[in-house]
Amino acid sequence: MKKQTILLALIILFSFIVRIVISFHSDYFADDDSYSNLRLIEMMRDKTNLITYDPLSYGGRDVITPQLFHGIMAILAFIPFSLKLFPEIFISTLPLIIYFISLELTKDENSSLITAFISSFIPIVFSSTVNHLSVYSLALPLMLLMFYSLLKIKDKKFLILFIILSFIFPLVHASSFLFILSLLLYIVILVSESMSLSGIRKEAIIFSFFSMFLINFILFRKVFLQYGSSFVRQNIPDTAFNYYFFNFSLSDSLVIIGVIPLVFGILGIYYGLSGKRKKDVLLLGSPILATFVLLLLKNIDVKVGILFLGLFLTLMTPLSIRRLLDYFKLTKWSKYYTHFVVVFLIIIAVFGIVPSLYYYQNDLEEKYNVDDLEFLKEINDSEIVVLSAFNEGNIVSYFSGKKNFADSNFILAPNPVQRLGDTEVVYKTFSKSKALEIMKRGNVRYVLLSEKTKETYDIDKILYIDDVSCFEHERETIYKIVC
Amino acid sequence: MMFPALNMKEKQSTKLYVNKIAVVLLAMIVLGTPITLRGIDNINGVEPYFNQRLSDIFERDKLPDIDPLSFASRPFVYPLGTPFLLHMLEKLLPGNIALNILPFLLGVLTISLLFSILKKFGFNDKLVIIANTVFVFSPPFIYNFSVFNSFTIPIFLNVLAIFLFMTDKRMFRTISTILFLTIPFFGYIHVIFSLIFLFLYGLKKIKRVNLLIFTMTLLTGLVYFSQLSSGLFFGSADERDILLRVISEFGGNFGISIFSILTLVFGLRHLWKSKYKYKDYYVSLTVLLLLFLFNQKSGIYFMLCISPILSMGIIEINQTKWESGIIKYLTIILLISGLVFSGLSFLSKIPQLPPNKDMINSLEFLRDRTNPGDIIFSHQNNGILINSIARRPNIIDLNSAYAPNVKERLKDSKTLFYTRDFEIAKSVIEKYNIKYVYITPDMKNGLVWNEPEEGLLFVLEFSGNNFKKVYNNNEVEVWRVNFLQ
Repeated sequence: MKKQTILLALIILFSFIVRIVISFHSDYFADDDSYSNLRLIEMMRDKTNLITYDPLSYGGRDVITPQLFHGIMAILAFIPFSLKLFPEIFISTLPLIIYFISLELTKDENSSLITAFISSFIPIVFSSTVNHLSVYSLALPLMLLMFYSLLKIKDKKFLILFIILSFIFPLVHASSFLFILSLLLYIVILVSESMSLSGIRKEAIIFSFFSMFLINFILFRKVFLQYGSSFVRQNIPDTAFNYYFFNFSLSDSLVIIGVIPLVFGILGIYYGLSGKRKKDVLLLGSPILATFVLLLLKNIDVKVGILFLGLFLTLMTPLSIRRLLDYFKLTKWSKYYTHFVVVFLIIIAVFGIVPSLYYYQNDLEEKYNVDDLEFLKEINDSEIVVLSAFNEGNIVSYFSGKKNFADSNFILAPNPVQRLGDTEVVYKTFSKSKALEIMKRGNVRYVLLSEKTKETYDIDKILYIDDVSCFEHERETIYKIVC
Repeated sequence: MMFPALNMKEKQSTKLYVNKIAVVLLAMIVLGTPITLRGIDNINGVEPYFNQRLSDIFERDKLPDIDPLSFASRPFVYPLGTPFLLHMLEKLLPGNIALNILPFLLGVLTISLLFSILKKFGFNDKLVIIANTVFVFSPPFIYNFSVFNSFTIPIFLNVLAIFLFMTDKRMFRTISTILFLTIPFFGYIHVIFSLIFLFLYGLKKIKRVNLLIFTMTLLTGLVYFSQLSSGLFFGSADERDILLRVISEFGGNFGISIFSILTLVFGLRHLWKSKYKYKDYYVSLTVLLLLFLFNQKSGIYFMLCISPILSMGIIEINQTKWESGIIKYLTIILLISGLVFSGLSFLSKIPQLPPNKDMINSLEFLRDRTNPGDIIFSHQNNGILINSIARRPNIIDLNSAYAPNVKERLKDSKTLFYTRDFEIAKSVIEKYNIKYVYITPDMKNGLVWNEPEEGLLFVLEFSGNNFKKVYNNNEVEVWRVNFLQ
């Protein structure tokens, strides 16, 4: 077996083991979105059908989301620990795909291997997917596989793969819109640069555009009808947008994208655009531009934007890494080449693994008392609503089995702007009557005050909650409304 | 061979004839589906009610100067061609038959005539068949020939006039001229389409056609602009984003499909191979596009004009040499699926158009239990129905052209819808002397409100005796304003 193959296998294995260790270290998934997906998977498993209505989210609402990932997980649910295991397997294929893309771009195995290593610990990708039941675990590898197939589209195997993925990808995740937008920008850049796009790649782009658009149109028809051109924004209210934006400072963003992907990625674009494979670099660079456009227009939330930026900047790194390695060979220290590579790998590991682990948070273990939430499950009334911050609504519904007042799935949610506003008022106001009016209107019977709630609204306590004639302190983090 | 061989021309002619019958049958199925779903006696959409109300006015000796119901009184400035013809037809046909059957018949006839017109323009058989099929599945065609509206008759008249004009017989030309001269009575948009045809085709064929053009323009001027007074509104009370109105997938009833737009790119690319040879066509297409953006109802004319180009687009994709045969055929299949799916998806919307039985009952309640001059407040989408079924004045409706103070009324409506302050609500109610508030389920489900006690709903519920719910059936509610009775 070739040395590179063994090294690549070790990289993938190492990243997989780290992921599995972290994932199995906790009984819970790390974030709120995982529990949204988990509920959907469990509903699919029980009903053996697609889910169009969620009785707990926002007190009951229509669900419109691609459900292939959930379907696959529901089918695999009979395997023990499958919900923890399979997302990690899916996302662990990322270094492999990135290795092949890098190899295609640079034809250099060493820089491709280093890129594969970088990609296994991109902080934002790692912290957003490890111990998460996230659709991105499957969507990101699929998206990269589509780009790789497009690079090698002249090969019939990849042509067929591309055709199949053009149908599958939109059924997995709405980021197929980002893929479409990237291809559009790619064409625009080629035209503006007077570069021709011809042959099978052009045909494949036209085809994928039609297939993805048709499938998305069928899936999101109701969303199109309701939001029109604003569907891209996913109905995310400004309150939620601002929360996501303010939680990311510029310095945080730079670290979480990854210092190595950022520096070497930008240099890679520069070198790539002046190299022989300009068209391929433009193709792989177009998602970066598309993400920037969407971020600037505030059309995707900042975390998702940074996720894609981190990933696609990593794809550009082999171009500059190869240059660096080639350059080093020309210097008078070339005899220390191996040492240099080892030091470089250590630097990558430090800047990759450390922030990856640092930014990984297990909200469930750190910010919730799950027993409190499970206590609510014992209450028989299924119509009661539990108030929480919007970014913990899915956790509340999953563990309590009760309706939430608001959560982070805003598409087709009933008036999320008002609900988020009302939630903030309840937590921050000093007026008991104002809060009670909102809670009565929303049929809220219990209020959650977790560490996450406190962090979201920057509060220590609810100011009026000590009024025992109206509020009973049922559990450590749960208050019951009794008046 | 058992039979004498047909010559090539006869064979092609027979094939086209068979295909023509197939497309006409397809049109019959498409247009017949909404009738089958809703039943021959029921009417979908608000526009048939509007036209019926106007047609009833012809019972009187003299046309009024003022419409006392729309916008609680406005100048009576409407294109009267459609209501007049409807009035005449309803003397012959009973009840709702004319409103249901006429669009179907005119739609089928329009498709039949289009075949001949496109052939006379010199397009080949394949292009003609694809263009007609694409047109049949287009949302503007489905809407205009499923729901009787002010465009149903004039579109057909325009197509018929063009067809007759293109024949060489003198008598047909005379009939065509008469038809063209009736067009101004149906609205200026139809005149623009007629004029585009006469400029592009008529002027080349007959020199004296400029007299017809001049007369049509003069008539349009006489019919409309003599009735205008200052300060009238030319915009639309439909407040949705322009993209929502021009794209059918985003909910535009008169809009065109995104797949049509994508196919149009290929069609125009094909046409552009001849560079400026078709410059007249580009100009007319631009005019119709601008007209469409200004008034979405004219989407049918834009669609009529681009159908051959869409057909060229599909043929272009099919005829171009692709490196991958699989991708080529899959792309064509996806493209056609997209065009058909957007048509079918739109078709499924037709039976859901208001009013439903509950709305009709509630509006009949208003007609029977309120005084004739009592002003009813509701969303602008319900305005025409309040006029037509309840026979009561509204504050605002979608017929906003030439209506008074539309922007102010829209603003005041919003204030009233979203305030939770009784005093603010009271001031708006007193300003317009509103006697009843009419609420439909779609208003509570996103059209206006999303929450059970949002805005005006809260005021109505918790303002003591100031409002009283006098009707409630399946979430259709009528609230009486007690302090103004």
